[in-house]
Amino acid sequence: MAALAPDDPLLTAARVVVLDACSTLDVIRIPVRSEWSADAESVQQVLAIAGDASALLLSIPEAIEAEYQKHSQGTVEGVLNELRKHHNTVTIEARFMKDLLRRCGVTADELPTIDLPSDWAETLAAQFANLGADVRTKLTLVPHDEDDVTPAYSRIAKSRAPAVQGAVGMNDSTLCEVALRIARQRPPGTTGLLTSNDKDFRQSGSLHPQLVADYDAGGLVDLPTWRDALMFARAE
Amino acid sequence: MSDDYEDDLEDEEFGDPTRVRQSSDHHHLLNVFRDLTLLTDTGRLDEIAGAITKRLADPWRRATEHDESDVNRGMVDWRVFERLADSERPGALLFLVPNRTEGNLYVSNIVPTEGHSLGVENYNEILVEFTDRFARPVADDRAIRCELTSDWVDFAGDLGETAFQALVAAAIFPTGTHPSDRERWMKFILIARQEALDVDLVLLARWLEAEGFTPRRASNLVEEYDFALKLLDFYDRF
Repeated sequence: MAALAPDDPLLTAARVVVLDACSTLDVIRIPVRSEWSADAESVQQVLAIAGDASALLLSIPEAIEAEYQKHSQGTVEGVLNELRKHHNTVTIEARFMKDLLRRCGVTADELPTIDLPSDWAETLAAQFANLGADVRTKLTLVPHDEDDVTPAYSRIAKSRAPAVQGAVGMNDSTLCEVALRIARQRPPGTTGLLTSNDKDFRQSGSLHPQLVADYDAGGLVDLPTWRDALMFARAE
Repeated sequence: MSDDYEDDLEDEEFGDPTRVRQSSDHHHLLNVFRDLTLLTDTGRLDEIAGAITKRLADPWRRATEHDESDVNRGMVDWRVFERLADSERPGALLFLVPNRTEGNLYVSNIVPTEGHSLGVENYNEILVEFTDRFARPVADDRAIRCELTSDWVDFAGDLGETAFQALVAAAIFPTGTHPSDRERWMKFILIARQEALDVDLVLLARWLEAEGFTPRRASNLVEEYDFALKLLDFYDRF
């Protein structure tokens, strides 16, 4: 196992959170998600705590960061498209309401106006793309090597969570192994893995049974949402 | 991150399985990943892998570059065979692994060489091809039993008539707002509890999806089911 140097911030920080690409992308998608694994306030408060890297270090394995980079632009565009759809819906409904009110005898002067700036969707999407970029600037890249990749591959060979039968899942397994490697070298309970990937890391809402022993042995904490990450960061 | 990330994001609407159906409309069988086991000593891994390698023909090859033998580091050792992509099936890596607990050799996983997931159908077809063309002849030559599990499980049969009928009734609309909707769902949970059913949660989710629930809704219901049973267990011990 690749040992961390005594002065490595991954070792000296009071708490470390290892992030998955999906949780990082969730920040960009905050305006359009109905089930919130991320909310702006929690993300901002986590970032504020991570302003002091000796208190909280946010980190991401290199392969996962590359995955984030690969998907980030498409995610921003997807958010923009969804917001524009909302814009069309709101415009149509506003027109309908005005027609209805007119029929009820409301005069033109009394009709309510909905004045959305024409670029509100772009502004909102950009706002959360920027929040995602803020998260990105706080992340410490963690290189991985054969010591992480070999056990990750072993998970795939054995179909052991987060790997599943019939699927590659190399990034998920590498993420898990990197987080476990860091956690094993730190005091138990001070390293968290933030991933909203319920399908591979959890079963019926709890940490996947195949991961429980690994997390317990490594002292790694499962963090499904940014709110959980905030509570973890604040814990004494 | 799951490669189904975008699918997950779109999967936030309820399925609409409210249409009242006859019992025969419901899925009794579920297709599953098949398993291949060679009932022989784990120490014969290299002998068997070698014999299979001699029989390999297009589009199969031995992929030694993916082998692992470092049991000292807590790894399982495995031997890998690659099926190259062609017009019929995608490319895939097949892992032959010793099961030291049960004392046999088995195929532990088949993963795509491109893309994220093979899906059950491709997985099973590739496994059957490997079995019929290479593994079974090698096993037969050595009088080794070669077991290939079915690609279907009898979900209804495993559950039993009473529980399955209760589940079918509950699945009409388990998240409805009327008290009777909830009662049907809770009745199924209590029957599962009373009959001490060992319901495979993955299969329960798959069954709900087959009945028309979205993956997310199915997952939420399974989560609820699992929590309810754990709570009842805890209550009994409290």
